[in-house]
Amino acid sequence: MNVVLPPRRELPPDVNERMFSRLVTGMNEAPPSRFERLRGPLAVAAGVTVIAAGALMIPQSTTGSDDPNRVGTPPTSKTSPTSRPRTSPTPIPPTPLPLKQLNQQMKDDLDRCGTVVANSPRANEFPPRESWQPVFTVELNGHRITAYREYGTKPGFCDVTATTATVSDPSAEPMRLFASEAGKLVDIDALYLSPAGILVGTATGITTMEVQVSVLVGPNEFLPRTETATVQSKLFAVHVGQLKDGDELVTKPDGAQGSGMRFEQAKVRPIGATGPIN
Amino acid sequence: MEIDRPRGVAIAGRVDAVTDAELWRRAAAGDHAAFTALYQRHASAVWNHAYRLTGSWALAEDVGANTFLTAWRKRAEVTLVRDSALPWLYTVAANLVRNEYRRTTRFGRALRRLPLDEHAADHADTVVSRVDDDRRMRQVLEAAEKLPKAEREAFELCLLGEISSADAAALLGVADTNIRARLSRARARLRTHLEEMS
Repeated sequence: MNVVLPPRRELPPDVNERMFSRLVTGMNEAPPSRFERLRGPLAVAAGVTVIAAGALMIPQSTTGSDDPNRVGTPPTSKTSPTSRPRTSPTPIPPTPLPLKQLNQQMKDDLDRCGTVVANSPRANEFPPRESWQPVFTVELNGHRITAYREYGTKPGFCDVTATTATVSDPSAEPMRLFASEAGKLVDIDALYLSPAGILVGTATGITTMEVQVSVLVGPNEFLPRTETATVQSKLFAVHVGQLKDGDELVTKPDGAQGSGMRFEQAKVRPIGATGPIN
Repeated sequence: MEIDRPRGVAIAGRVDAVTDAELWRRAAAGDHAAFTALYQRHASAVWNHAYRLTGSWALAEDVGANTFLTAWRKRAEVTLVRDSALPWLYTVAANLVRNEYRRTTRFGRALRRLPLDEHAADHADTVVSRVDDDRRMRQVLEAAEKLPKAEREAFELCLLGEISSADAAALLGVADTNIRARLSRARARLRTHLEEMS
């Protein structure tokens, strides 16, 4: 039997962009030292300029609207005749974790992220590691994301792979996925999109959530699929995959009519700190 | 501090005409654009090599990014023994994979249990082909884990990385004939291991 290896492939532009973004972020991070940690505010100014390119979502509500520019559930006429909605075969399983029984895995991951934050020029912008309380963890394609809250309030997300740890930007502007109608208290905001395509954020006033992802496969031709989100302690995680310009997301909380948004290539990736695991 | 984006590398003279060794020398002196040019030149090769070291495109992206980050951090400590930076980058990638898996044993096991990459939602034939590639690659890697260290080094550089035995010999500080002998033994052992596995 001969040793036959798979052929080499051309590096896809989106992979290249993500790899380069991580390199740029790392190249611009000064090596940690006592002096530089004390010099936080100056280092922060340098770090802010290198937030890497990723994805930017433009939320557009469609509830009760006739505006043709607004995005809702893709109408049948826009959908490829061969495409059918499907439910994700592998919804991300939740891992509930009582605070008093802190799972060692989650603690280890948060420690890894805490170390990366401590070595980051933006360390002063993050709440102290001691205040991070884990909520749940999800795992996909080599990425494990642990959601945490600062003393049970401000959310953050710790994304760990075999070699690196990445923490969501603590000051990232939330991207509105679903806005509540008058008199209702339902709000869903995305805060971080991982390189593995896991979208995470806050979700208040709901217990379940589905996201219809419509991938643009041709002029006005979409391939829709439905993904079930994990919702826990007012946080959510859902695998939306790698998206590109023109793809659409429709968020449906508790079976309600969806609120849609169109995806655009990003100017900002909501990463707060990233680095190799020491 | 900002550095140039991939399409905006500003280096005196044509980038194509500048050797890796010269780019490396400039990068060691702190020239971000020179290191960016090295990245552009070798990103695809390192990414492919990282796949061949892991059998997972998702991991390959992670290992690839980290290889260049490690190279940037060690740039002042390393002098290229041949003109191409690729053999050394391949060694960094291999060390990352080996050390990270060894150090994070539990996580490493979890990663190995991951389903084969399925998120490349292309044409169905392409997906099937990719899954076959992943499965075949992981079989080869499993067999390669049984090789003695010296043979595995030669296997990773010359068979997986497709670099010349002369370059591998220079990097490892041994004679070219030594590398060729290691490769010959590695091929024979791999064939045996793969037949046993099948």
